[in-house]
Amino acid sequence: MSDDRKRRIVLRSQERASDAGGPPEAPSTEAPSTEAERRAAAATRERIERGTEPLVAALVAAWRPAALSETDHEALLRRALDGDDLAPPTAAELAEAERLRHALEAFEARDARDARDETGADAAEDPGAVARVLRAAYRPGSIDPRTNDELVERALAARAPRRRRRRVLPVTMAALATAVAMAASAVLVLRVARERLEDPSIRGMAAASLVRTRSTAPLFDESAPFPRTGGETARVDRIVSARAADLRANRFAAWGVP
Amino acid sequence: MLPRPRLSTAAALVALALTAAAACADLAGTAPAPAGSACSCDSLGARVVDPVLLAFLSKARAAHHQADVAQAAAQPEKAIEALERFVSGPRPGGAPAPEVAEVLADARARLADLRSARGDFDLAARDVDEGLALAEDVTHFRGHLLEARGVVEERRAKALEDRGDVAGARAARERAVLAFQQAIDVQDQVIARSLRDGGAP
Repeated sequence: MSDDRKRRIVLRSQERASDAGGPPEAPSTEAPSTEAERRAAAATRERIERGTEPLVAALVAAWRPAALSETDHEALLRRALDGDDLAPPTAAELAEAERLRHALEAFEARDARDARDETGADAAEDPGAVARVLRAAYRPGSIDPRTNDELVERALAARAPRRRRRRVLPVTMAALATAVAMAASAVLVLRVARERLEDPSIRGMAAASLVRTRSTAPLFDESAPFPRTGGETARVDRIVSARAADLRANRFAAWGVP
Repeated sequence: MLPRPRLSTAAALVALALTAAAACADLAGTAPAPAGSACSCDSLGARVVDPVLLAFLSKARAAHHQADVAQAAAQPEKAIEALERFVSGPRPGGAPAPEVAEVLADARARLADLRSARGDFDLAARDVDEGLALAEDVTHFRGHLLEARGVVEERRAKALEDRGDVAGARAARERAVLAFQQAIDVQDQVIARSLRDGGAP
């Protein structure tokens, strides 16, 4: 009879004794166990029966160490004496790796919310969780397009408005300040120009330098009368040219340009 | 509702426009009299050379050049039309400046010459009278108009003579002689003044 079987018999007999009204137990001061606690206890019992509960396995190995196989012995010696990290795995390591592989496959095949491996463990205690995270980082799988759109939309909605709010106000204020400064400069320049015009000394100088209208006779040789016919076009050409120069002079005088 | 960046731009433009309008209104109180008013005058009330005068003189130049082209094409009626359009058109407001009067007078003299050459003696005489009313100063412009009157009457006398109107021809010839004499008198005065002033322009 194996030790495991003996252990199970002991545990069951204790339960039967308790159920059959065995020796009366002292009244318990603890609160009654919850459903979650009972499930955890059942899971622990099953791991102990399978021999996969780490604490129990360590205690059993310390109390009654089992014989090592030749392969395991060789692997342990190589790691300890030679520092060979590439030594072949032990049987326990192989069993653990197999269990991890089953857990990964079970998680992928089932719904993540109700992920339970073959031993009935919760998703929170899934031993494959770390491996899955590492694998997703190394070789990420494809994401559902709807999920992707939802994630992008959520990210943009959360970030964009805040960013826009932060940028619009300074830009608007800068634009308004620039416009006001330009307008104030224009008013200042125009006011200065007007003050110059209103300054009596300046207006007097400007008035004195303006060219007035006058007879065009001095433009022609007064010692020679106009020809009996013809010459009108040449005369008016000369008049226009002369008065155009006068107009330019008047404009410069009005602007205060000497 | 405009987006915020466009709203800020619109607000800035409105602010600029309002400021510019206020500044222009500010300046308008001291701006010189606008073109077309009775007088573009300086602070002493004298009329100054302004863009309106230049525009009128440029129009006169264009009319004379148009008449030159028409005469070169043997189309005197088009030359008369161009000059008539000028002398009958708008002119700078108020009392005519000396330049305006002299340019109009010269155009009238040319019209009189063109019309009398076509036999329109009455219209030509009217042109001379209009021109003399403008060029009242003793200048070659007035002398030229008086000479144009003499030419008109001389042509009229020739035409009347050809028609057998001896009396009419004689009267016209007398008017022509008188006009030529008046032209000589004016031109003598101008020349004398020129010589008196040392011939300076």
